[in-house]
Amino acid sequence: MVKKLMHQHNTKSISVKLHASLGQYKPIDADSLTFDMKISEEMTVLELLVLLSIPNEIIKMISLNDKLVKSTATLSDGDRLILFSTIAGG
Amino acid sequence: MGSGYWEKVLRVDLSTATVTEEVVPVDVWKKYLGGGGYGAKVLYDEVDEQTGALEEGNKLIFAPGPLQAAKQTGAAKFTVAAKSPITGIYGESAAGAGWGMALKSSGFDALIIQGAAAQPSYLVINDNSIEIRDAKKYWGLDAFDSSDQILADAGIDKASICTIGQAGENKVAIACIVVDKHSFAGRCGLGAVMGSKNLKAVLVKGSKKVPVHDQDKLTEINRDIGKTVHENTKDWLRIHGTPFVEIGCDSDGDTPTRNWQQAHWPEGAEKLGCPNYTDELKAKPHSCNSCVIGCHRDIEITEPAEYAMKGPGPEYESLGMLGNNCLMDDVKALSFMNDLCNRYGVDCISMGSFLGFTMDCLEKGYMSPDDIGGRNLQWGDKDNMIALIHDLCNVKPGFGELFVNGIVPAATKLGDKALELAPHVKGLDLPAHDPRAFFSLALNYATGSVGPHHERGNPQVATAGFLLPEAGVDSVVDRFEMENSEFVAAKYQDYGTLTQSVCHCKFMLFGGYSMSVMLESLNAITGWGWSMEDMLQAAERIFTLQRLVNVKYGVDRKDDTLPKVIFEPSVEGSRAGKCPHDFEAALDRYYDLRGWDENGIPKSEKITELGIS
Ligand code: SF4
Repeated sequence: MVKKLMHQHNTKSISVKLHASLGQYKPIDADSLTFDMKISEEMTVLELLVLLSIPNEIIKMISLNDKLVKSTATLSDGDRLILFSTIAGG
Repeated sequence: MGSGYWEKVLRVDLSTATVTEEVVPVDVWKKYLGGGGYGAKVLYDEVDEQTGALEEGNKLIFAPGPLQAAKQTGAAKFTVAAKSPITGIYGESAAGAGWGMALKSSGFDALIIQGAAAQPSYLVINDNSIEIRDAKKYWGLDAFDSSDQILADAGIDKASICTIGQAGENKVAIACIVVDKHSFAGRCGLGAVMGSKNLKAVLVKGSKKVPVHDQDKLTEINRDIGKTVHENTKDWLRIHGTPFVEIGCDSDGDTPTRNWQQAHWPEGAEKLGCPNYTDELKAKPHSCNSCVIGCHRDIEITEPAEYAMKGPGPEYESLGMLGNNCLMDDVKALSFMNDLCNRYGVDCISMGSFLGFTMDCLEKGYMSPDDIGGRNLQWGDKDNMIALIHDLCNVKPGFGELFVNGIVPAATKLGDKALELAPHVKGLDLPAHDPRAFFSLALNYATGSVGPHHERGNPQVATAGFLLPEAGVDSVVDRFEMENSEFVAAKYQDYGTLTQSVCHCKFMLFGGYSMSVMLESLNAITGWGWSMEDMLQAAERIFTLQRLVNVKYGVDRKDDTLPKVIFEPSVEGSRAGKCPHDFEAALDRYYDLRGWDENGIPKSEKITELGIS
């Protein structure tokens, strides 16, 4: 299921990039796999995944501001988040 | 205007110390492109089934392809081919760094080495000047030290060098060829073939501009694709290299664990994978020539002193095979082992396979410590792993003598139960991707030209959205789908064959380098005006020719198998209860799709259709 990005009372803005096969989870009002989102206070990556309807188990790596983090990481205003699913190459 | 080819191949006969230049017309390149396509052509025409891989009659073919005419991201690759001492069939491995581009710029499309030198020798190609030189003073040195010393002594500025370490000299069947001290033609034991020819190194310097059809167009493509690939890989493959995939592969049940007997090992993967790898090893990107990704790792370890090293860090394959497969989770110890393998010049994939298999055999009682020089190797036992790497590369009594010819001769000596446990196809050790996690790998491994290989093709990436729409793979593939796996496997094999023949890096696919860009580049270089169908047919032609080489060497359906463990589902992890099923029926469909008969032999109509002669 895809969601609209804008929610009332959301005060923080982050940039989200969905990698490769995650394209199907792109919100309907996003133009590309990289999009900005308004989020509420105290949101973790895990909560964001729920918001985007992305099953947690398919997310293999999470990059937050160029650092690899766990899904429990909290998002802050201006964060740059990249979500990766399986990449069984290499 | 040119065609990206010199129409010239250099043949060096080490037995007679003669060097000849042969004209190979563009018609041949139009059929077989270069790289593995040309290597297969030479083996098909010149090396018969009786010739042993380590005998003088075997040929070692170093071949770049047309794309080495482009200063393009991914175009640093070249291919080495020979009859393999591990499998006895078509052997091929690719490397990058600067060597392939240098050979192409020296005025040759390929180099064929035949015969064997009476004394240790090395070859120098400095544009048109070709010399066979004495390598006695370098024999016995590791691949890195010999590279440094030969380059320093040769007095040729900015040359590129392929070397073997002691493992190649000792004809260890898994010996590799080391290129510019950071890239490796790792698989199939081609370093042993080089050693059997008493050839320590090939140093190349090329300063000629390869003539191409449309340089302006090529420059435009190079610029645009460079930007695209950089943008798509800078956040992961550039920062972390292939170790980036370690944790994800483990969670998919893709990484071999405990000699393929365990489904996953999250706590180990966490220590071996990223970010720990990048932080602990202070890893930095290192690129092959012209590459915007730089997936190779430069690492440095200062403590503990016993693992101190500086140089290329382990790739995902090494992490999987020396780490997860052996339950060894110390990333610094693993990096040290990787460095030892690099310096001795052995394939880390097979090395990890031998060690994991040995641990399993010891635990199950199929082997005793006495069989390996009294070493009581345990799971994750890094001290003994290091000792056994030394033993193998120096062919010491025990482990060295047992495994010198590969896993099958070793397992055969140990008995039927050990043989059943050995993770190989056609004698080549499985790499670090499990067909139980990605079913299309089952047919890929069973029918691959060199045996099981994770890059020729790599159908597992279709599950992650790295597709080949031009070849008909235009939507994400379910990883547990057997039904259409023959199609997915065949298309990625053809793609792998193509990249090995035009000589391009398959990681560019992760950055958005499509087959359409490859075709555009090929046409700008050659002026052939090919359609996508022409290029796809060339790929199929080459793959079929490689099969014909193997058929000549005795391969048929009986060899297109998988180890028993691949048909044993795990009880835990994300692939619990899953394994490739109805394999023989899938193999029938695969043969049918390929135009091969029920015994896996290409039919004469197919051979004619593809114009193989
Ligand atoms: S991605 Fe890696 S292997 Fe490929 S060309 Fe670049 S550095 Fe070499």
